[in-house]
Amino acid sequence: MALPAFSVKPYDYNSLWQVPMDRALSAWNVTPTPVWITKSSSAKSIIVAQQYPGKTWFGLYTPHGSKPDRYFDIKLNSLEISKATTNFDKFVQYNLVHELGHALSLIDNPVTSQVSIMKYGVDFNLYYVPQQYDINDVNNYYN
Amino acid sequence: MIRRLKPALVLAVVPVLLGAVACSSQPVPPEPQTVTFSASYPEYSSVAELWSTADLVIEATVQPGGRVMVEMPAADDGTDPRADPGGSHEGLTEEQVGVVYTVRTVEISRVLKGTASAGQHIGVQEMGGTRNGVRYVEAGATLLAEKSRVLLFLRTYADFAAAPLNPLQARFDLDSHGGYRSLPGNTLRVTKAELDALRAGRVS
Repeated sequence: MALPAFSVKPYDYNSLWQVPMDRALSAWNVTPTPVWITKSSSAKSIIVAQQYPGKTWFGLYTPHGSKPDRYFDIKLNSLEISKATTNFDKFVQYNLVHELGHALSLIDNPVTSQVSIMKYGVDFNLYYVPQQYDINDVNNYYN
Repeated sequence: MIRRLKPALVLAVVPVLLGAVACSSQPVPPEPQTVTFSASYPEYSSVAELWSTADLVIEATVQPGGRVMVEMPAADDGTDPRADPGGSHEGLTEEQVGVVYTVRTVEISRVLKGTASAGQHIGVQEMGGTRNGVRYVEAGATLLAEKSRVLLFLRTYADFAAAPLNPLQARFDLDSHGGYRSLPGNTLRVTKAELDALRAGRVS
């Protein structure tokens, strides 16, 4: 299995992006789970926030290699994210929390009536940190 | 006792053996490694919302083939700090920051919204494709099948092929009776009557 403690390469964006992106990492780190995400210049996993014109997606998660040495890249499409909302910082955070959920082995749109950061159409104004369902899912996976 | 093969049998066997040797000496292309990626998109609450967001709504038939492309991030222009986060990606590879997608050609049979005409061929983006021996597959996405007839809600661009608003909700397959079939997992349903009402502006 992929490990719940991993590092990502440091990123350096303007404060409108850097702050909510850092909050996304912290949002996972404060959960009662084995998750611990740090930054390290030697990390193989990366997070980038960039303009991808002509694309309709907000975020992409791409794994590389095989478990337990899996690493990943996460791409945030700044063009789409900036268009989609006025509550910008929460939306950036929500998107990265969601994509990091994939790095923690969570799947898209779980079948549940509970709120999950991985569900489609979740209201990011209200839900931009891992929810109890996500926490349970991670603990079930790693414990 | 050693039995001798009849000459005719020898002649028949030797070419087969030679063929086997010849075949085994041919380079066998390796199976592409498969990478399954996940993407998140805007979700739409109704067909009316799909309709109002799309620039182009068409019925079309998927043509053979496709072009695999890689899109690298656009250069930052720094004018809007929300759209342009800044930052440097020096040292990162195409694999790390590029996005692999395939442009399929579709022949339009009917235009319901937007500027296009029946009979026109246009490019439609589909995320993923095979590049450098790696097959990129989008989790949960249903690829456009050659010759299939589809209803598409698209966003159009000056410099890129049109893109479905999302891969699940913005495409419906046409059935043999001319009705629309949602992709598995898409809870939205659409009928010709609803599309006619949207075209006529009777639904907002």
